[in-house]
Amino acid sequence: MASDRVTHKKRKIEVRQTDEEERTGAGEDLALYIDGDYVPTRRHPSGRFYTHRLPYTEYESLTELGKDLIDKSQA
Amino acid sequence: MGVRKNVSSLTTVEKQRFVAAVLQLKASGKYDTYVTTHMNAMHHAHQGPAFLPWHREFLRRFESDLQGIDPSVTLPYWDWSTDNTTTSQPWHVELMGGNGRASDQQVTDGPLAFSAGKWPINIDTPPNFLTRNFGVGASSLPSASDVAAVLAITPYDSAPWNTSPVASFRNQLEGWRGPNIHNRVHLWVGGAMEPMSSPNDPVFFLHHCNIDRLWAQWRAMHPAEGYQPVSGGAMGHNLNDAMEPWGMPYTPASVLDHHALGYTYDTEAGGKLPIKEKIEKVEHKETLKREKLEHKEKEAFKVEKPEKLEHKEKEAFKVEKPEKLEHKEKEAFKVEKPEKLEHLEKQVPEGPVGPDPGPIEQRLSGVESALAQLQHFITPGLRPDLSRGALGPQHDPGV
Repeated sequence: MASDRVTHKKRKIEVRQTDEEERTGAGEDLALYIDGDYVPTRRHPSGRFYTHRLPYTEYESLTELGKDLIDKSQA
Repeated sequence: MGVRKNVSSLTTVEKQRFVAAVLQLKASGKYDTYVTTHMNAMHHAHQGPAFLPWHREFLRRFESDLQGIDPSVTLPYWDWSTDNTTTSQPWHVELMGGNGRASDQQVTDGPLAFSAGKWPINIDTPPNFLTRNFGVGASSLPSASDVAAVLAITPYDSAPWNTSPVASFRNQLEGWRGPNIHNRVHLWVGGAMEPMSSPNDPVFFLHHCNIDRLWAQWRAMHPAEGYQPVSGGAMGHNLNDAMEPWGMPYTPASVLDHHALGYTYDTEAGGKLPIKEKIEKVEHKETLKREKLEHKEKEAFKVEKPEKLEHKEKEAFKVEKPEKLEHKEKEAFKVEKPEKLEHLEKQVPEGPVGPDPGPIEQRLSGVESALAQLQHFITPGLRPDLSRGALGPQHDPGV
């Protein structure tokens, strides 16, 4: 998975390498930030990403997950 | 036993009473504790085997609180596989109201409309109004064939007991594999139904009531399939683990038999599952056996037995009903072996029981003597309803 940086509805979504203590816990060293704030996520065994803030769905990428969080006022 | 009905078959009065109870629970502040409980239940209530038992207990408590307000209320279910449009029963103004408006997804009709003032969102805000966004997060609701396909899956769950197993009724019903049943309904309703605070929308309970009904149906279809895992799953997900936040004695095992929890579904034949019918057949057979044996005993021992011994015999043949219906029939009904009865019977003395009453003439004489003493106290003045003849020979010259 690659780093990414996009703007969505005037909010800044960033997927980048994290510090050790901020790792996602799923063997990934990339994490999601929205407007600079870290967003906890997990990676399911399916390989898709997941957040407790929207617990009924999975996402192909952290960027997609970040956009949905913004769309659904959860970030 | 309470019968949980399809929301589309509720009478007008039943709808009114259900909505009134929900609104009263909200006004008391208790409703919002359900939202908080669910928000804090990510790990021990989702993405694992306890998904179904945890929500069963959650719904049972909610229904019990509603019944504390109005004992006639039972939780209705929304069968989204057949009632699957934006104008379905739950969305009528006398129930949950309809879709949110385009601008901000705010629900604007029915008893939960923000303008009605009875349904402020207090947990996981903003917004402080109820939102819905039909058909955006998911384009369709699960179909009847989707449901049938998932109901055919066994076992209940499989290692590694998370979102990955395909051969898992629980995982496919929850929606992480296969046609996606439960998760899809949350996404289809959208708005407040999407985050962990999804009980903010009371349709959460109608949806999960249907999920619970499907679990009951699956158990009836696969009576040999038990809950899994017994051990080896994450904490809270094994058969006898305490379910948080309630703790012991609330375990997955404690909620497997929904009839024991005091409710049934209107889709169950006669309110009974096939497994229960099987158990009743076994019970009937045992009764017949007992009656046959009792008849043989009477033939073999033509003596009156002391009451105490008869009681012991009844105890010896008592059918022990299991608390949990998931046990197999043979395990569910343990009839004490006839050896015990034979042992008790050996204790019965042969011949008449009690002191020898003596010859018949002596007994008759005793009875006549007792009658004469009684007649002394009964005069026509005391019993005007009786004829003179009934009061003894001294009052009736004809005798």
